[in-house]
Amino acid sequence: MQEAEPAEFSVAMTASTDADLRRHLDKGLRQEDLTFATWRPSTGRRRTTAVLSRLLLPHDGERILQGNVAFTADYAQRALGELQPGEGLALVHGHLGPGWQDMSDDDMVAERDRLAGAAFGRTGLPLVGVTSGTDGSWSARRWLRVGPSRYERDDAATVRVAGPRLRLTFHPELRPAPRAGPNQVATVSVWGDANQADLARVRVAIIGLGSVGSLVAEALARMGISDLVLIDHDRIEERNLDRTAGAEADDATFRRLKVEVAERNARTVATAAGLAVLPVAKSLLAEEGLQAALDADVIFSCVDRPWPRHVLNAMAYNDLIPVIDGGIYALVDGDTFVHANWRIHTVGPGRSCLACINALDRDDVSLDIAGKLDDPDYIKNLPAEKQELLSRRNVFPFSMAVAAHETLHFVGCISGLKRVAGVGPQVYHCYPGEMEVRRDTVCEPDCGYQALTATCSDLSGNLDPRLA
Amino acid sequence: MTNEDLVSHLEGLGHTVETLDLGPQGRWIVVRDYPISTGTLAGQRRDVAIQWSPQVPYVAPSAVHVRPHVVPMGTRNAQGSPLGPEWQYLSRVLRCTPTPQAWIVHINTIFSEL
Repeated sequence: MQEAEPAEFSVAMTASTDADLRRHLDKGLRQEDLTFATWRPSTGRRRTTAVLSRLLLPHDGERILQGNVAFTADYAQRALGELQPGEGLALVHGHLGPGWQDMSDDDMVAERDRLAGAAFGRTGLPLVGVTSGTDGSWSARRWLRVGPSRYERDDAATVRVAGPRLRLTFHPELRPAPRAGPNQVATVSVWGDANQADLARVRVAIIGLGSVGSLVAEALARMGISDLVLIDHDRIEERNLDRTAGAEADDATFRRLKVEVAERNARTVATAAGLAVLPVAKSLLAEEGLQAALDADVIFSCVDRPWPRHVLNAMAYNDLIPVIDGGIYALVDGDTFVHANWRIHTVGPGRSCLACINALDRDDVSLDIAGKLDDPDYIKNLPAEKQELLSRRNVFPFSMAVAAHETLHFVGCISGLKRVAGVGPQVYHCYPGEMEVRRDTVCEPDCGYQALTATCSDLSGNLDPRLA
Repeated sequence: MTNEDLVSHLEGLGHTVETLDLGPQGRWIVVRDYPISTGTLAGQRRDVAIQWSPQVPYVAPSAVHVRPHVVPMGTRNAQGSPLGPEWQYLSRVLRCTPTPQAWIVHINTIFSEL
């Protein structure tokens, strides 16, 4: 028997893999096609995602095309032989209809009877079957070994295509479309039923439930998002009360967990018929925090420390989970407020990373890892401008602005509505009061974060060993 | 880059390189008898140690460690090193995209500024 897998299953691919697959599979309205591909596991607390990594396209004579399609034994043997350590086998084929696809008897024979045992025997990983629909949708399943020569189908809850837009296909029974309620009429009137049905079903993780994160949590709950993961190890203090949504004096008195307060607030204002909230009172830099974040479809980065933002930047590419991030810089000279600006950006496949848009300083990451950003003696020797950057000054209205724009980025990322989210990283300058759009940003050719795309590399070395 | 890239590059330049696993004190890349070519210590040699970075992607550690000491402790951001009392921690951040070549320039720059 294989090791126990997280109960939930998903498949993810980059938008470029999606495009390559569709180019290969699209043979018109009368002919199906197929290909083998490799996948790597991205394993969270509740979900395993099979991330498609390489296509093993067929050579001439390796499949039989007769309206439907079949692979030859030689093709299967070649594909199995080309798998590298850590890779599993996927069979990807096209169907001639729209939406989530069920399986024909021939499909079952091909996956369960011809391939599942060979793939598991070769890799120790389940065979993954993926099917395209004619409308851009995908459906998928894995074949779990339940006994000698016995494999059972386990359908994916979602298939995610990560590019500038995160396109999800939801299993119609495992993740059914919720019906928008009368308390969401205004929201639906702006971006429509279809977009609302997608937005409502996205699992969103919020890392950091401070000033920005607490507002994002409230905004998402009000919008009808039904699946939230809240990650923060910190507790409410009196100094947080002027900028944490939903926090009350008692929360500071009793030092309640920020995730506990955010969950309470989200449940109070939620418009979804059923809101699932998983509070995780751990740092992202602890194994449990990282695992919980890997369950998300989209992540809001609402932390200001460089180390966790480095980890999130890596996850965005490594595990194909878009990360929406922001930052506030307020300059005060003595008692005089001088200037403030804030940035909002989404990173992940098809977009430039935090480091390459200068939203994450690698120097600060190494200093944070070394503990220097908590060392007052070290900080006081830094240049004044750097000290100001590290002071993380903030007030509630700044946080509201960032939280609002981050939420709009989320809507744009899922719906593809550029007229909601804009077209690139944004920097707002309080004076004179204008939004700068950096639409042509690209990663450096040697960007280490981009190089992680769809590799599912082990990120546990990025964690804080003191939290183990 | 990776830690292995750095070791390979240093060895390719003819340096003697060891990797040390000190358990809770971490894993280290140690260059033996690194020649100092400029600055007040030009012509001398020092052992140079760089902590093995577990980060993915690679994040350069914020310091290099040298043996024997090159400046009085407490001056020029020099502190004690977990490698032992004969070693000295020089807090110097590699302020560019980390590559093996950038590390060599960084080490030489640190020595040139002493």
